[in-house]
This record gives sequence, structure tokens and C-alpha cells, in this order.
Amino acid sequence: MNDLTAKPPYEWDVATVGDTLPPRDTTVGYDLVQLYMDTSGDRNPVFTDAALARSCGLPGTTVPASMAMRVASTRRTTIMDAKGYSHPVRPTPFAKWECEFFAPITPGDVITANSQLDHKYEKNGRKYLVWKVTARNQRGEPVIEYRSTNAWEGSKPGDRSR
Amino acid sequence: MTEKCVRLSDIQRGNQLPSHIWNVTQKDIERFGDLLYPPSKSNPSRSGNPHIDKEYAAKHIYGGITVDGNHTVAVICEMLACWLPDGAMTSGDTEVNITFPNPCRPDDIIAIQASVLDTAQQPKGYLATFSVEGRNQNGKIIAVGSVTTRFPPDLSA
Repeated sequence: MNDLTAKPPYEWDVATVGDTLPPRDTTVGYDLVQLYMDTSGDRNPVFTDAALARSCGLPGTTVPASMAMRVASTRRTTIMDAKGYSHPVRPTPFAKWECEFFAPITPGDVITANSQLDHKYEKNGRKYLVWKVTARNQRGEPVIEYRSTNAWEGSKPGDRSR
Repeated sequence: MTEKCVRLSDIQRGNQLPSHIWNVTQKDIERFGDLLYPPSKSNPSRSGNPHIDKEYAAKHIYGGITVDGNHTVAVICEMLACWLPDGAMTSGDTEVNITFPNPCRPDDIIAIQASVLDTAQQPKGYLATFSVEGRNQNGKIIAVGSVTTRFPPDLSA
């Protein structure tokens, strides 16, 4: 994680819906797919076998769905930094992921992602921040949209033994 | 990872997929972290990372290292992709909705179950929705939700 401790923490009260950054481009090189395979152990042949992938109706080798968070990350720490804040000095548990894929992503694609704080809510004594990411490929086609929810405040007795 | 299903008849509402057992190790957590938050020159030990830095993770509401939810999603997606015909889960027309109600920790043994909730034939292929659930060795749910994906057109021909 970045050393951003000199800045005040991005707490619930300063988190503002719409906090964002300029879009970021990520080129999906085959090296990134290889890194995914090496780190996850997932060796699905459609990641490497173009002929097989085409026989399945795909445009060629494709990128695993779960690489969405790598090619189009929330960049939430950077959003906080740009606003003049740091990530709170405590973990903020990942509570929910809701993701829709509209088109296959293939090696060589350039993914342009927009990230923002989409909304805030409170439930059962906890406070949650929801980050939204929308991403398009180099042809302007939507490829991914997801919402990633983090529990921001509100630890409870018993959490540590769950 | 799991037995592959290539027959449409296996993908019918109510059918259970073969379950998958995930033995969670700290080594696997750190290796997956190389994808999302690799060590850097300024932070080679990845201090401040709740999935790798034990001291920092102790400040966690869960009191220790937990698995990144992205890692859990990756395991679930891999399980479905292995079971389904080649091309599923990467063809677009895929939706993943997963909630993490309890932490997943190193050394947990997670049993992941999935069953077919619904199917639909469409011009571009066959869509199916699965319920998915991961439970730890104590029976606590660490991930629950649904996944919808499209199968290659030739399967539904």
C-alpha cells in the first residue's frame, strides 16, 4: 500500500458520492493473462488456445472474468489521495461484488475504466461505501460494469471470532 | 479442477454441480496478491495490506489475515468455467453477484456448491443462472450469490 499517512483519513463523513478520477487506460497484454494463470492456478485453455476459443464462438483467446478487478480496478486509494485523504489505517472488508460483463476481453484490448464512489449506506449498524467501475474497450464498446462494496465503519463484538 | 459438463441435459434447473473443496493457504493468498497488489520498490513487503501484513490485519474488524474477496470470486468463476463448456464465463453476457457475509481465513477448508437456478435459450446461445455458496469447515457461509453466463452457440444448436 502507498505511504499516504500524512494525509487525513478518508472517513465516512468526508466520503462524497461522485468522488472520482480521470479515466485510466490499461492494455491487456498476454503477460497479464499469464500472470493471472500463474497466480491463480487457473489454466482454462480458452486463455491460450485460439483455435479452441474460436470453436466456442469467441473472437480468439479471452481474458478470465475475474481479471476485471485487475484491468479495471476501483483505484479507491488513488481517489482518496487525489481528494487529499489517505486510506484509513484499518482494513475495510470487501462485502459485496456485483459485476456485469457485456463483451469478451481479448489480449491486446485497451480497457478504459472510470471509477467513482457510487453511493453510501448504513445497514445493521455498519456503514458501507460502494465503488462503481465502468469500462470500455478501444472500440468504445462497454465491456464491464461493477459495484464493489466495502464495510467502512462499524465493527461489532464478535467480529474477530467470526 | 472439477468434472466438465458438455451435455446440455446436465444444465437443467435444480441440477447440482460437482462441489469443489478449496484448501486456503497463506501462500496461495500471497501468490494471488501478486496479481492485484504486487510488491513494489517502495513497499517490498506489502506492509499495510490486510491479506499479507499480519500486524496490519490484526487491526481488522476480523482480527487477522483474511482472503481477498476477489480471490474467492476467482475460485468460484474458475470452478464454473471448468464445469461448463469451454468458452463459458469469458464470452461476455456474464453476471456475477457475490456477497461475503463472513471472513475466509488462511487454513480454512471451503466447500463451494453451485446449482442451476434457471436457463433460457437466446439467439446468441444458452443462458444459465447458478446459485453459488461457499462454506468453511465450521459451516459458516463465506460467499453466497449467483452467477449468470452464456454458453457457446454451438452447444445449444
